[in-house]
Amino acid sequence: MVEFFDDFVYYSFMIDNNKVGITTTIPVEIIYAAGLKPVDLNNIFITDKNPEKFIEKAEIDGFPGNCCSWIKGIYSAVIFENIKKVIAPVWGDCSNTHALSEVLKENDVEVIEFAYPYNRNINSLKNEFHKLYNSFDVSESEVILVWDKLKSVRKKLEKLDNLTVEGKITPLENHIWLVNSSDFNGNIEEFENNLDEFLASVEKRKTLNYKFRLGCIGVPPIFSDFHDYFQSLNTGMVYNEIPLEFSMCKYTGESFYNQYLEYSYPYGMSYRINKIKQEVESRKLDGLIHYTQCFCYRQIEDIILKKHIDIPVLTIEGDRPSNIDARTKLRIENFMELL
Amino acid sequence: MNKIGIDIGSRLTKFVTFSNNNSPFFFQNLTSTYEIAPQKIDKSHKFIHTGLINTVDFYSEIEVFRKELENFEIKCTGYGKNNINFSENHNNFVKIPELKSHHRGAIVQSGLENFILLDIGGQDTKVILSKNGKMADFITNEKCAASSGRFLENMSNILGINEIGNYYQNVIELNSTCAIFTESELIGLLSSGIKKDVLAASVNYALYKRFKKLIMKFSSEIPIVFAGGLAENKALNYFIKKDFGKAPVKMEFPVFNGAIGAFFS
Repeated sequence: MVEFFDDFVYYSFMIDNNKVGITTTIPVEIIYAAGLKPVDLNNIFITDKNPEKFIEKAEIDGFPGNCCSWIKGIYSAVIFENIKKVIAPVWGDCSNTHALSEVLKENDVEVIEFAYPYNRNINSLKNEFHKLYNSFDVSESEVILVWDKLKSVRKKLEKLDNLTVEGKITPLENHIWLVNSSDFNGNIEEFENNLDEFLASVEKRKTLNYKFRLGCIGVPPIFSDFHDYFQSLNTGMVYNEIPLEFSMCKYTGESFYNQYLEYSYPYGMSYRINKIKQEVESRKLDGLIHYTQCFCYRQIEDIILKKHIDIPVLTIEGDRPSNIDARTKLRIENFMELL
Repeated sequence: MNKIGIDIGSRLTKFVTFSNNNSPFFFQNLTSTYEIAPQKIDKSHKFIHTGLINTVDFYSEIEVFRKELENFEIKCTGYGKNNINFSENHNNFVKIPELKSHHRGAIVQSGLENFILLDIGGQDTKVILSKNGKMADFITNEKCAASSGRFLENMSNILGINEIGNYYQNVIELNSTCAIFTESELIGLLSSGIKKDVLAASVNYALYKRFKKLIMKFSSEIPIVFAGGLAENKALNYFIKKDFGKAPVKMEFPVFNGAIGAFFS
């Protein structure tokens, strides 16, 4: 790949027409069925050694300071990676995606809009999926074949999640594996092989015992030391709500379309609450951390969460990719005191 | 071994210790000594010694403090408690979480067990609900300087007013949600002919409105105990009394509440 370093950020000049950028979890089976490679743009941004440059680039191009950092990161990931095709869910993820999609189109990116149905209706969902089949020129049966293949991978991810609850796998490892399952790192076979190796390697590990067992609710935290910090407090984040939902590993018994209806993230807090409650009980959690992203409409959903969850909940807020700030650490420490 | 409570805040660092001797035994030039009324704060001691230093100066002189406190039992709270240059290799250094310290301090100083503690610090505002002497819940301000003491300090600098807390009449609403935007709003209002004392009162009111909603989350009949650097601010006390129907409970050493609480934790 030809790379050009401009102030430590590379721009890729190579247009890889096989790559399809995704801004959140979408029916990834469709992209694989079309023989293309999904790229979760969030992961490109947050795993870069200098994610701040992504934000800076977006702000130079006009994104306001008081706008979600993930959106800025996604925008710059498309530009830096020279991605020419993006699927953007304009309903069911982020309220900024509409505007992002328009800006990307201005940058000669083909944006395929997609909407999780607000009403969680199976026919509306099928409609949306069929539009994607047409866009990618694939048939339903081809897509179902990929979905079938992914079933075993998802079952292994469920095993990985169970091992996290048992204390064999760290919450950070859990987070990384589950988040990566939004695109299976662009290569299902390789992902599955690596997962097999990883699961085999943890078998002989000692079990981690935590003083407190917590769950993390909400979008993936932008803090780079989030899990390390909780681990240092001898606290196990044994439930990563949204990454677990991204993997859809709990829904392998469902049909293809129902799996995407069970997947709770796009359908609002009222729907998510019941699933969260079940996990709180089955994982024997002492408390929840509700992570919210600065300037995100999901901050409002905190009202509903607090009203319906009867274990202690601490709501924290992150803005840019960095370590947890002193003020938030103070609040976390005191939350632990309350537990 | 002598014991000391230290609260390393974002703006000021506070030291507190107790003795039966009216001459302080540390940092002579920084320390004030007060006789404690019998049965108040600490029954076993007659005197409280308090010291106050700018936190930036504290960090610059950290080696001096470290040496001076080598043989003390240190109970430390505040943002700076994790500063390893201070705590490293000290044999008797205990870190106490902030809210725990403030809560303990309020119990010791007010003698109450059921109350809402309001603490406005340089960097953040904390509201703690105390039930039967236990911390039942807490809220802190949004991640924004407009709810902190620093906001008032900056605005009084802009207005060139020293005792900004004395102004509470003829309030007008300031529209800005952000401390930085408020600065330019004040300049605009000054240029349109609005008097400084009106703006000073309005700045107090803007801050009050920010923490009022935190107190209101604990809607209750129990007293409000006011700690921190702004506890003496007349305007804030006035607004609280006006809205909640009762004046906040004052403590003798509001600025030192965290350090006192750490001492007794």
